[in-house]
Amino acid sequence: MRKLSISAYITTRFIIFLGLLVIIFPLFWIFTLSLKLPNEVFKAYFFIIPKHVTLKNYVSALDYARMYFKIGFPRMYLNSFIITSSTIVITLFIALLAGFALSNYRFKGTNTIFSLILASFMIPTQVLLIPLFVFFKKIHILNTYLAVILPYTLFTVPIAVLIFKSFFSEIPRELKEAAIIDGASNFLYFLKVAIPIARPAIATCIIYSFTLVWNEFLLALIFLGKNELKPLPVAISNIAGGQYIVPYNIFTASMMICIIPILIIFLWMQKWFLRGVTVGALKG
Amino acid sequence: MKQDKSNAAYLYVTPLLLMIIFIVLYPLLFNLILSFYKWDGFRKGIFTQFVGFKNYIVLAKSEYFWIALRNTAYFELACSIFQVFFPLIFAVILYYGYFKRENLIKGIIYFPALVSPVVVGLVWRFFFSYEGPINNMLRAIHLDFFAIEWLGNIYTPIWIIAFINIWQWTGFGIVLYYAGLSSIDSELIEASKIDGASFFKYVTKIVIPLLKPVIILDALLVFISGFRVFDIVYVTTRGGPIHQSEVLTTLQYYYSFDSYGPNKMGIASVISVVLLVIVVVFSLVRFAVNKRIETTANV
Repeated sequence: MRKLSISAYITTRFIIFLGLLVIIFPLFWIFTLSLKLPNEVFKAYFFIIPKHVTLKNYVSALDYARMYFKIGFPRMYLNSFIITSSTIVITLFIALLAGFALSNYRFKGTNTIFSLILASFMIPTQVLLIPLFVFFKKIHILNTYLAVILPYTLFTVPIAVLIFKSFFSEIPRELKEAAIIDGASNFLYFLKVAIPIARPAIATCIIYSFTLVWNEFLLALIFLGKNELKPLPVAISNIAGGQYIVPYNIFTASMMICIIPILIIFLWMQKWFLRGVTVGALKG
Repeated sequence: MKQDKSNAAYLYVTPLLLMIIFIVLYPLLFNLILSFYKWDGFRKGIFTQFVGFKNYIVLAKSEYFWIALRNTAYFELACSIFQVFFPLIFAVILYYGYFKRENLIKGIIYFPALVSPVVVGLVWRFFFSYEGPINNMLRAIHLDFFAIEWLGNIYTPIWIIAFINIWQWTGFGIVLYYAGLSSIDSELIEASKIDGASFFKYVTKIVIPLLKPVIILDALLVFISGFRVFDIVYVTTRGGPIHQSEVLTTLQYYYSFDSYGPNKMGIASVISVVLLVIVVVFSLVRFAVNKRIETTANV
C-alpha cells in the first residue's frame, strides 16, 4: 500500500468525513428524535441523544396510520411488495425472451427494435399519464395493481433487454451446438441452458428493477386511488405530506419505518446494489 | 457468434413489442392528438372539441408555464454542476486516498439513492420548516435574520429542492465514477510518477480525459432525470406558494389530475409534448456525442 503525505492524508480524511457527515446527520437526527418521548421532543429540536430511549413512538406511528389513513404499515409494505415482485417477474419474462432473440437470431427489424428500446428509455412519465388513465379505465383495470405494474415494465425492460442481450451473446457457441446435437430445440436450449447460465445477469436485473419500482411515486399516485392498494411512497405522502403538521414523534417514527427495512436489505446485499448501479448505467 | 435465421425470433420479441405498442407508442400518439383538443377528463367523447393550437397559445401566455420552465432550468443548472463535479472529486479522493473501509464509505454515501424520494423530501421538509432544526441552529448562533420560511417564500424553494436532489443522488455518481476509476490501468500512475508529474497533474491530464465517457454518461443521466423530478417537489412545496416553485412535471400534474387543479387535459398534454421535445432534443445530442466518442476511440 502506498503512503500518502501527512497533509494529503489529513485532507482526504477530512473531506470524506465531511461528506459522510452530511449524508448521515439528517437520517441520524430523525432516528434519535424517533426514540425520544413526546415531551422531550418539544424541548429539544436540537440534536440530543435521548435520555430515555423508547419505542412508544413506533407504536403510535403504526396506530396513527391505521386511524387516519385506515390502512396500516404492513398492508402498505405488502402492496409495495406485490407491485414490485410482479413487475420484476413480467420484466424477466419479456426481457429474457427478447434478449435471447436479439442475440441468437438474425431477423428483419432488429434495428427498429433497438431504436424503439432506446426511445422508450427517454419517454417522460408525464406523457403516459392521461393516455394510460383513459386506456386503463376502458379495460377496467384502473385501481388495481395491474394499472401500475404494466407501465412500470417500461422503466425496467429496456435496460434488462440490453443486459440479457449482451450476456447471451457471450455464451460460447459450443454449448449451444452441443445442446442441439443432443436433440434440444432452440427453445429447450434457451430454457435449460441459457437461462440457468444467466443467473448473475438475472440477479442484477432484479436488483436494478427493485430500485426503480419500489420508490416510484407518480404513476401509483394517479392510478391507485384506493387507500388499500397504495404502495409505501404514496401512502406515506398521504399520511405525513399533508398541509397540516403530523406530531413530530409520529412523523419521525413513520420515516424510520420506511427507511429501516431498506437499510437492512441494503446491508445484506450491498455488493449487488453497487454492481447494479454500474451495470445499469454503463449499459444504458 | 453465428446467428440463426428464423421466424421464431418474432415469437420471442412479441411480448416486448406488445409492451412498446401499448405503453409507449399508443400514449405518445394519444398525447400528441389530445394537445389539440379540449377535454376536462370526465366528458364521454374525448376527441370532440377540436381547438387547434389554442392550448399551445394559452400555455405560452400563462405566467406559470414560464415560471415552471425557469425553475426546471434552475434545477438542471444546480444539479448538473453539483451532481457531475462533486462526485468526481469525491470519487478521486476516495479511490486514490487509500481508505481502509472504502466499501463501507461507498455504501453509506450511496444509501440515500435507495430511500424513496418522498421520504427524503419529507425529512428535509421537516429540517427546513420554520421551527425546524436548520432554523434553530441559525438562531442558536444568532443568525436569526437567516432563519426564514425556507420553503414558503418565492425565491428559495427551487434551490432547496435542488439541494435535496443533490443530497440524494451524489452517492450514485460517486459509485459510477469509482467504477470508472478502477478500470484505469494503475501502471499509468507509476509511469507518470517516474516522469515527475504531480498527482494533481496526473488527475487532470490523464485520469479525467480517460474518464470522459463516464463523465458524459453521468452528465446525461443527470440531465434527463432532472426533467423528471416530481416526488420531491410534490412533498415539499407542491409547486407553491402560488405556483412559484412549480416545475414542468408538477405543472402538468396541476393541469391534469390535481384535485385542486383546473382539469384541463389538453393543456396538460401540451406540457407533456414540451417535455418530450426537450428530452428528444437532448437524446439526439447524446447520440451525436456518443458517435463522436466512438469515432475518436476508433482512431
